Amino acid sequence: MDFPNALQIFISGANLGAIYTALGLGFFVIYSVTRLVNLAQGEFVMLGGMLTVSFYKMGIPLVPSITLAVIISGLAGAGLYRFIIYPARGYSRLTQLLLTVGFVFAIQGVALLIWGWDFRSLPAFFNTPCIQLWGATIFGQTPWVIGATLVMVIGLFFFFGRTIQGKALRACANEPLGARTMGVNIDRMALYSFIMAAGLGAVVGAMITPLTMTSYSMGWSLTIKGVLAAFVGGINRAEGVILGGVALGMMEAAAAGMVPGGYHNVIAPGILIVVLLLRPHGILAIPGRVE
Amino acid sequence: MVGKNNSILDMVDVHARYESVPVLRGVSLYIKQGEMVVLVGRHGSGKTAILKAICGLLPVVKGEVLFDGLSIQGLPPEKIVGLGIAYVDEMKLLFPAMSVIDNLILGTYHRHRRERRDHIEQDIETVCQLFPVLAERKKQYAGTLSGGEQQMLAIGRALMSRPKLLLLDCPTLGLAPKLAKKVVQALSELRDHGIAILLIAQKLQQVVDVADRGYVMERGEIIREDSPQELLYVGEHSRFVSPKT
Repeated sequence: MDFPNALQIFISGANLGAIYTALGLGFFVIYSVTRLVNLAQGEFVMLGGMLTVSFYKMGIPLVPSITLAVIISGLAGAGLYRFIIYPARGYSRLTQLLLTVGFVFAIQGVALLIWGWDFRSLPAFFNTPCIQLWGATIFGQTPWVIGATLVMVIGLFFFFGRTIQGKALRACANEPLGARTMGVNIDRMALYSFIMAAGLGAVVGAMITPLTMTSYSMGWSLTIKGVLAAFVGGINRAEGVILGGVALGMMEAAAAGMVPGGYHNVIAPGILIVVLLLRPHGILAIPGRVE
Repeated sequence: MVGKNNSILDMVDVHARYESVPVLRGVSLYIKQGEMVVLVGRHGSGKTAILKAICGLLPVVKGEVLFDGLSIQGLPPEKIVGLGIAYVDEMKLLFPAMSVIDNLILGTYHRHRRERRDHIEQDIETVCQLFPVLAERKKQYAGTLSGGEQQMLAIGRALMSRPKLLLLDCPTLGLAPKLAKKVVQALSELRDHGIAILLIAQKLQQVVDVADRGYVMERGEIIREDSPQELLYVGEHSRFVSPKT
């Protein structure tokens, strides 16, 4: 393989890795607090993308469009928790998981009614042009995707590591009863985690729309990719999710560049099966803390 | 504000149950500010239930719990800690995947942001003076500490909330005698600083010299109130204290 091709694969991998990492972080935030895998996470990505396109097409500038999309998606996240998960808080994890699947179909149905079947797109942010680098092409949107993911990662590390609210969120997952005796309202923390994850998902949706386009049905496939990233790396550690996302993106890009036909689509699920067989909690997970 | 008998905590005819099983049957007790009160009794006699009923982890079905003159039964634990009651569970309930310092910081969670910011360094310093080993282990995960160190961290974390009343469930459980003595000494100092302490003693001998009063429990009821020395004497000649205690 020549250098430009290898570089192109690396750039595509970095782009996909950033997307999968950002997707996985949404799962991480909710799992960290509630121990629930929210299978509706991809729908927040879809909502973020569709809403950003809608607001942008109405003539609202890009940044306010994204902001509005994040706020509305955050409210949808709050609604998912308050009206679906919270009333079922005493139920089994499996029931709660199925409820998030129910929410997936509900939100897809609403999105279909509002936006129809069509795919929608946005231009690269601020019309950033394509860049040619040593024979490889970097799409104008790619630096924005990678940059936004870096900001999210740094922001989450700061939030969870340095702020008392972030520590309280982690404490809820660590020892819920202990957190309550410290004055932490666990239900409120869970609500915050859903709002935060939905907001993160919406940012991802807005970022990837210029690259992948968006439609009412895009959420589910993104959920699968996010789950893969989170579980391969270890859903209970941000470092694990980052590793999982980057590894998945790089491998998928490498497979797409080297494996003929559509076989590269087998790579990601194949990796998940192998990793989960060898490391049931993920590569970097803290053992015993994944349910 | 204080209740009758100049007390900071009053329990009046308190009944509570775990699901359908009654665990407290008409318990009445009081604690004054700066007093250390010990609960003794056989396993399953309702000692832990008293602490949980006070801090809101066990619903009170009848009777009244007054703290600083305010009725607190029915309030959730996260509200009760804000009133000045800190609870240290027998299981410690630490955050094992978080550092010692983060555990201590979370003890201040319910306090106002400004108050927390202004006093947190000083409070951590105070806790570390009381338990110097915590200063050496600040960055270590709580889950990697020894049993004794975890106990000190649990008490230290509770103190970070600046409680008026400290509830301790078997604070010396599983500790070597030397370490247990150290913990009891620290509790005695806290009492001398005006903090009211209600504790369950696994071994009455360990606290007999520092506790002010004691209650004996049996089947969810208080059957005797006396000085710890008297309770120890009587306990050695009766059935209310199990061989362990």
